Amino acid sequence: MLYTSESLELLVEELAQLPGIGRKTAQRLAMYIMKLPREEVVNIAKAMVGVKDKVKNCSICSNFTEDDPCLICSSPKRDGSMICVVEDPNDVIAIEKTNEFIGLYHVLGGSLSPLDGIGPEDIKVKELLHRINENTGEIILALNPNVEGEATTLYLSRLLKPLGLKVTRIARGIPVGGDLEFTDEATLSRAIEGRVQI
Amino acid sequence: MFIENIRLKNFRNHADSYLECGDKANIILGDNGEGKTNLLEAVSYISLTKSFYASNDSVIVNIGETIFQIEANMVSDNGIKTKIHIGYDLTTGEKVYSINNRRIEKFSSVIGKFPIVFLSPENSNITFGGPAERRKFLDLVLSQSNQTYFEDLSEYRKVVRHRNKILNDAKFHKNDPIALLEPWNEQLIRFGSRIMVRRRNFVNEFQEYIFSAYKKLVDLREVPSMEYEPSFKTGNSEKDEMVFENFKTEIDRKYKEELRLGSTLVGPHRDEISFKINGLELRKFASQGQHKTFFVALKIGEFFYLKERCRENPILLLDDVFSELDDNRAQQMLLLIENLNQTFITSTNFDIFDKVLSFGEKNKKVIVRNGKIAIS
Ligand SMILES: Nc1ncnc2c1ncn2[C@@H]1O[C@H](COP(=O)(O)OP(=O)(O)O)[C@@H](O)[C@H]1O
Ligand SMILES: [Mg+2]
Ligand SMILES: [Zn+2]
Repeated sequence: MLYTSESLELLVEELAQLPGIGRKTAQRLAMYIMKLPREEVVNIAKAMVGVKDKVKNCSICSNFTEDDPCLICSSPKRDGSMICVVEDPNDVIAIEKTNEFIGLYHVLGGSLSPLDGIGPEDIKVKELLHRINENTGEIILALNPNVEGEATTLYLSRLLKPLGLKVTRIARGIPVGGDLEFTDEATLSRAIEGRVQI
Repeated sequence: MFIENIRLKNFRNHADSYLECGDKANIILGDNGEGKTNLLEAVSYISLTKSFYASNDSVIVNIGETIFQIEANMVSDNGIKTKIHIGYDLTTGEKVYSINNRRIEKFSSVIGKFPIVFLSPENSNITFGGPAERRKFLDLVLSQSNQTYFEDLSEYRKVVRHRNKILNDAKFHKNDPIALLEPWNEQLIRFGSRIMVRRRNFVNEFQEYIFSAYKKLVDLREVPSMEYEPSFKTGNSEKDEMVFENFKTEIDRKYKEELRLGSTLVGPHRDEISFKINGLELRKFASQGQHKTFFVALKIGEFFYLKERCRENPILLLDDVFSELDDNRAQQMLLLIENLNQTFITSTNFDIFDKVLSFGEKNKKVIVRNGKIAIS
């Protein structure tokens, strides 16, 4: 059913464009927005326009940033000899949360997916090769554990290995806190396949 | 395993149906188009976390509604009860599968917990039809008995689709895509050879299951057998690595041809599994009767195979199988399955069952009419 107000209908339609939001959820959000004080709504709208106007891609690592180069690329505390390659900015956030990694990142902006028409020239592969220099010691490939991520890992490792670099990939395995007994078969069999010598 | 009760809400034409199931035969009667098969589809949905028929969950939602739900209580062979709840919302595309009120993250981990064996007249294409039908049969049995197989298979299918796209683009633009193909070749070979090894082993193991099922159905001057015929020679050595090595060689050998045709020509998606009686291929030489017997033997074999692998008696779903049989054969069939496990049988023929089964606690009979279930 359509609303009798054209602007309300427009808002619902726009919200429903967002990923993971169907028309019902969009209607609920629109009702919520209707009830907010005007300033609040202006703040939300400003925040949305703000990211569009101010946020750009770092010219080195392609991560989202307001300053170029980004805070990570320009930090003297980071170890420039290690570059961790990820698919998108959310992956950087996830790894940063661990406080384990002190190197730099490279955000590809996707993974190889012929079916979606995404080839090596559509993700930041050239840029990765370009930033590798005599300081670069190790490239860590941290792509998603699906066939597209795996293809990207294989593709990159083939490009990078002849350059005489150490190329590593993150392990796939049993989640911490996960009980071996309750780990599903497929994960367990992959973990066994990827076992390491101690 | 058996189902104690099941409730469908807006599942196909069942707006709100509830069935208290018998733990042996459940006879579901009704005219064509009333919603009998839909009920079986719901049972198979519990087992496979998706539909047998529909590739898209949205077509399952009762037309005009937005959410379908299935609720069921399952009882394992050793008496442990499990509560299932499935919900799918058309507007968000969100699907929830929960077991004992705990939401399942990975649907593939459910496959094989509630094994089923499904029979329908269209199913008999397994023996009549092309190799794809036989691969489908193998895949369903193997997926239910081995989660890793199921996952390898879905990864493999994705890899083939990506790879075909590259080959097809290259055919069109007439360029050499070897650098783009390599990462996909590696995965094709990795997943493909694992699938092939499992299929080969399965065919070997399954021989005795068909053999002993066949023995129950006809005299044993007829010896049934099954042969695995992959798209390239794997060597019959026991070494699994040989499959991997030969796969690699074959990919190189077929490269030009793949480029010319623009699609993947090597791998388990091109496997054939041939069925034989006394060494003669069923498809070319068998009579109608032999086809039927072989088909039933396959399904009984499947039942016992899954029972062993899943350590749980599978639920049998027989769709419209009885409408085709004469009284005599129908009775024979009923006697055969009566002692196996819980069975759901749909039929448009109201009369044949009363002669063989007595109805009560164990055996139930219901009538489905316009998406509603009535106790008969
Ligand atoms: N999503 C749906 N919503 C409502 N009705 C449906 C839906 N999908 C199928 N049907 C109806 O279900 C009926 C077929 O049910 P089915 O179980 O196959 O019948 P049968 O009793 O012959 O096995 C048809 O009348 C069809 O229109
Ligand atoms: Mg039907
Ligand atoms: Zn940066």
